[in-house]
Amino acid sequence: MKTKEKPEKLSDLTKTPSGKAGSFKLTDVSGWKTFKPVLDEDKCINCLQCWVYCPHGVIERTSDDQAISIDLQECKGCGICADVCPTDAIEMNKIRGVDDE
Amino acid sequence: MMSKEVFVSGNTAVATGVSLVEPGVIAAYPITPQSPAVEKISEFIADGEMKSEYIEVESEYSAMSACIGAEAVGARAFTATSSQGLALMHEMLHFASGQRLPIVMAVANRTLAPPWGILNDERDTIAQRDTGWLQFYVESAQEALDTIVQAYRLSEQEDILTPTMVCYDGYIISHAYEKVVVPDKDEVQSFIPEYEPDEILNVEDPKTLGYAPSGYNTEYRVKQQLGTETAKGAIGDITEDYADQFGRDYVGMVEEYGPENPDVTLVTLGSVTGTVRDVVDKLNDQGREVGLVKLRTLRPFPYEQLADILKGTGAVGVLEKDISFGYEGAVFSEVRSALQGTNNVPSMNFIAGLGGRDITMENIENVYEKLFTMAETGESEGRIEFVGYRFSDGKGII
Repeated sequence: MKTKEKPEKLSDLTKTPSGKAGSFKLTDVSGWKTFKPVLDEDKCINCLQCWVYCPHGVIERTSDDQAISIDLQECKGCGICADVCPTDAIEMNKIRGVDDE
Repeated sequence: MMSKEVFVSGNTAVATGVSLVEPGVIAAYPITPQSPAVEKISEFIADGEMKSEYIEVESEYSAMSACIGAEAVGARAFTATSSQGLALMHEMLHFASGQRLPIVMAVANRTLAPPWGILNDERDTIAQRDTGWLQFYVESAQEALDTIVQAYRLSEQEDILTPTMVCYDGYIISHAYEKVVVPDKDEVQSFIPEYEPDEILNVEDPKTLGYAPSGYNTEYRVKQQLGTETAKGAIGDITEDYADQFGRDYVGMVEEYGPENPDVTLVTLGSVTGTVRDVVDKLNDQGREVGLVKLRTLRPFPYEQLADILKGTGAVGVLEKDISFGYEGAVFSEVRSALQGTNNVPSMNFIAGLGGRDITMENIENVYEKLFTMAETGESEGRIEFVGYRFSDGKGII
């Protein structure tokens, strides 16, 4: 598992196994998914169903309100967004290798 | 206020020790033979003698969980239990030690069922040996009181941060009355530094507990091991400071009793130590050089001292109130492992007191006779003897 800030000695670790709230933010979880969502912006009607249902809150509303965007760094690839999308604007594509993340 | 002498049960001595420390939170569920200890604590609180919060819980699992919650926000916590109750706590014992929460718990040792029993042996706490808690086995009500006070200072030391179990034999200590010296509360309070943990739950600086960056489990376990190793030296220092301040010296992790360089030595722990002392006195009066080693802590395990103490003796016996089925008494295994590399002293395991079976002076004299034979012949009749085995089919020696 990759972490964003690597401790190098025991004294770099907390005294007890604890961390700041939201400490999962410190862990690179981008490699956890097998499938990644791919958005077809032309099909997206910005209904925000995916934004409502995403269990990890990685769907972002864009400033122009034209289409959503997806934070692939935090996305776990569960596919709920693709399932709830009324226009099939999101397709789940299998990740083939590390470079494809 | 000064120290005073009282005539009380071991349970009351435990409750009194806790009242002197006055932890912020007590969470306990009653179980025989611990019940009178926590009943006494709740009386102290109800009478205003102790300003602690008593959380009534519905199980021992909840008792330990409540203590964990209390320590997680920076309070001192205390609980007590026995036997089946301790077994029910098992999962949370790991949470307490893994999270490095310095909870202190008194355990009135009682056998585990079946066969059902409420009397004493030490299978309950020895079964929790690997939960990451420090374990003291005390010999008297006085030692129980004093060890609880010492345990808070030990557990809370910043480079230790490990919870402690103070194990006192059910009935033999918990219900027997003894003269106990109760130290002055202010002096006890000054003996224990303020508890000011910094990695706690706090709305001003939100934290998540129990979390470690993925991939660093091993490193946190190394920290845990180093903490318990540090406890070894600290137990010596704390015991010495306690002796200076309060006049009672428990030596440290191990105590030697009897002549220097005895011909044979018996290692034991808990209340039976008192009986063995009498046997040692009696045999030494008869001109026989027998020694006793009292093991005060099972974790940390004082293997260096044991190796040093036992290397010159002719035979070693380990008398304990537990057995790890399929092998031998757990304490015996550990003592023998400590002896590895020192010499080939013959050794034998004496399993006694299971389910409350009395251990008499005669039993212990017989143990010493066996050790003398072993010292002469260089070998033992068997590896394990169940002391006081009632049948004459020879199966009590394995």
